[in-house]
Amino acid sequence: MRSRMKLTAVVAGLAVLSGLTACSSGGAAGAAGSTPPLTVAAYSQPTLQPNFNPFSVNALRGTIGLIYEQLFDFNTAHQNEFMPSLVTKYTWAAGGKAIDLALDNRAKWSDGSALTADDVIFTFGYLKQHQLQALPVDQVTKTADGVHLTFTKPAYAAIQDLGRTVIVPKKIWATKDPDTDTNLKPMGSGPYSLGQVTGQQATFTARSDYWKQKVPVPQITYVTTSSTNLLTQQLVRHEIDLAYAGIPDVKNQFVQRAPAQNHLWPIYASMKPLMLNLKRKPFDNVHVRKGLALAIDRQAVTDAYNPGVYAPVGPTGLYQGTWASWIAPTDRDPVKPDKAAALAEFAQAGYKQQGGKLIGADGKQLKLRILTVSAFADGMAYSQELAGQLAALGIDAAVNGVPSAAYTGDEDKRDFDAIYGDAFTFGTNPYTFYSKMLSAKSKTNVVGWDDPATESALGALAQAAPDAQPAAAKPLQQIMLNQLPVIPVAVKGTPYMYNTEHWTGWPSAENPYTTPDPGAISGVYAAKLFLSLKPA
Amino acid sequence: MTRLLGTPFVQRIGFYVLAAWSAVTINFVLPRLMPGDPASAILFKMSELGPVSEQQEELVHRLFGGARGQSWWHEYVGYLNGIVHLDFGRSISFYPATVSAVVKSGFLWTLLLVGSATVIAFVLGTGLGIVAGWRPGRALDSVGSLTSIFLHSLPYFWVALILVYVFSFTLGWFPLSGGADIGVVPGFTPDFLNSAVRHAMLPAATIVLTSVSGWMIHMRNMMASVVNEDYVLLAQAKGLPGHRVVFSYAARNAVLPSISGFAVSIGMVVGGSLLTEMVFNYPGLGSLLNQAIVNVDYPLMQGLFLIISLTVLAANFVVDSLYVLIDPRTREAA
Repeated sequence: MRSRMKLTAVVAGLAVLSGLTACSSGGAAGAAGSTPPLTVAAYSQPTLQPNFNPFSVNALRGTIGLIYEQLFDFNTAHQNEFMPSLVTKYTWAAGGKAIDLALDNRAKWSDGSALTADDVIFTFGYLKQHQLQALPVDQVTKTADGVHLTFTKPAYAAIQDLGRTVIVPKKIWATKDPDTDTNLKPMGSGPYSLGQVTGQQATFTARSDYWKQKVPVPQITYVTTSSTNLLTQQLVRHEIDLAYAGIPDVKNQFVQRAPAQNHLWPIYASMKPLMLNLKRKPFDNVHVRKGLALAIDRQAVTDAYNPGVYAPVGPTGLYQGTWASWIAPTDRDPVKPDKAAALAEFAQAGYKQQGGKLIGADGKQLKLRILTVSAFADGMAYSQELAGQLAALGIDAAVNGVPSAAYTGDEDKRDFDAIYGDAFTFGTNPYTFYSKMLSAKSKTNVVGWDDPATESALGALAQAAPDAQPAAAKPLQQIMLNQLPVIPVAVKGTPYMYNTEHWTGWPSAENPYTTPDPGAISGVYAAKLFLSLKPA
Repeated sequence: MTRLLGTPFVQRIGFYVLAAWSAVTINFVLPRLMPGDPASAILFKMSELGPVSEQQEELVHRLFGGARGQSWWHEYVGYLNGIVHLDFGRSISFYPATVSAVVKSGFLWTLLLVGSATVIAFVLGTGLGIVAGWRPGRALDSVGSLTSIFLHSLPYFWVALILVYVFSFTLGWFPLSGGADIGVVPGFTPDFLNSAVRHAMLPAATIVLTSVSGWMIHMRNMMASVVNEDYVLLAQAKGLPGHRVVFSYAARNAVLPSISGFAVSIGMVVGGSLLTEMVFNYPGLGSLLNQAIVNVDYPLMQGLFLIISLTVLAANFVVDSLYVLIDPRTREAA
């Protein structure tokens, strides 16, 4: 009896002990300094490895934009306006086969030495030597106010890629291997230098001697985050000031919790089409594709998950909100769902409704499986909605949700009926957008569209000078309208979320001076953002 | 010679060598049976974040496109050679970091979190099982067993999320996620240790809560079955004090199967509790394994699986050898 008492006492004691330690560890996390923190959920993975090599595909975000600077960029969020960085002005010459870049002569490296045309010339040579750049750069020479580049072919279409070239100091990089160097002591020209790096965060410290202006945010912390559940809670608690991951029900879960401080601003930078495998019957038949395009209620698709983050897109694939001046007025608005017109198109392909099913000439029901990534809640919801709408018309439609590795595997093998998951970025001119989607040479043309008229139209657009580009893009729009190589459904918004508790001056729909991007897309956007903030 | 080959010790060593080779080979084959390839996986991840320029695309294909280029046999020989030299190559998802460096970065986190939680769960569960099984059917046993069965049937993921919601989000007692506070530098400083312990509390509690009942039920049933054995009755009849009967007679024999179970769960420690680390965004091996799988990172997967399987083997070997000490019956058989 006594012994049993002793035993239970020990066990109970253990339990109390663990309880005690649990209670004693309360208190708020990390004491804040005199200035408010700025924390960005920049890495969508649980752990990171230090890597500040701007040429590495695994360079940590912040490397480009905070530490190293790019030449220039264009503001996706507002009319593609020119955004200067190291370059203040560019001038095309020789019909697009040459360009003059004027460098900002104030630019300095963090060791105090000047950033000169020599560094720019070195960087372009380095990129060429190590096969890091796909631009057709031929020669780079020094001019009075910067550099002069020549190209092997007109490079109008590559202007944004050119602008996003990261410039590194010649004296340090001449001996570095871009493939294997992790560059743990980066020396750049940007507004920040590297602070601490741990397995889950990287901090960046403002440079007091930044060449362009005083840096308002003294320290920025980029942290890892792997679960949207946690991210939502961190955003609500304002432990995270900026994030851009898809959060379910974001308006209620985040914005409505503190409407005065919490903001969501989706930026529409890419288009997500429904892509049919053109190598499979009956999707090679244009009437089947037209029937499907007329059957889709695009507003309902975008409302299936986080209304407002995606938006319906017009039939040319270009977003009517940004590209209206490029599109004929009749082709701007998204196609309205029209059951009668859809059935008429299907009838032309030999499909008739019998007993609520769409039956072809061979007596079989039209069958369609939409491939998408099962791990993405948003992608699954949009695909389910699409499949439901098509099923209502009598098509045997369902979603085939698979892990991302299987998705890319099936996509590469062209083993799918339809796919809904890939998005195509608009860029500053629609050349990249259309060529990635439709060119026979493109790796991302997964539908197998192979059409000489498309290739020649793409060739013409690639060579077109800026003011001739809208006209040169028209034939490609016509191909989209008449032949539907892919079916435009929605523009994809990146849901940037930020709060104004610690910092104000964020870009917004009213003042879209940049994209609130921490450097995932463009270092110019990131630098512009952080240099424009003010303490709340 | 044949008699030497026949000795249990040599047989045992032979078995372990064979098991190690199989583990190493399966490690090599399994990841390669997965669909997808590294270059597409990396490009897909990049395109999710933003537009991928043509130069980035070419670079990725140049660096990782060859991951499937060579014949399997060629890769296998290179892989075995690497293992012999303790060189596991470079990780793909963290390229150019080496696999050894990546594994090292997560090892200590997991060892401390999952290791301590596993030991706590084992000791606590086995202790409770001894108490419950000693007097089957009494109040403590009924309440304890029912509670354990209830806890055992709770989905792990859900327990973790509920704990986060209640203790971190609502009450604010614990941090939401991660291994340590933002801005705390890892090292043996009071600041860091305090922060790390607070961050480890909830994930450890989740592991203990969901696994303690397994140990307890197991131990209780073993205990209940030995309580009525003759040697226990004899010990009681001799008038030995209760705790001696419980520990030296009943529990000593009842705990044997649990010890083997513990050896296997040591392997799970090194694997990191994948789910725990995912829910809590914890920087350990479980998270790394998740990242390796998502990015089709063969070298990292191989490195992690190798460590897991070799740890299980080593733990089994140790327990096998200990068995001889704990269990007199095995000695006679040998």
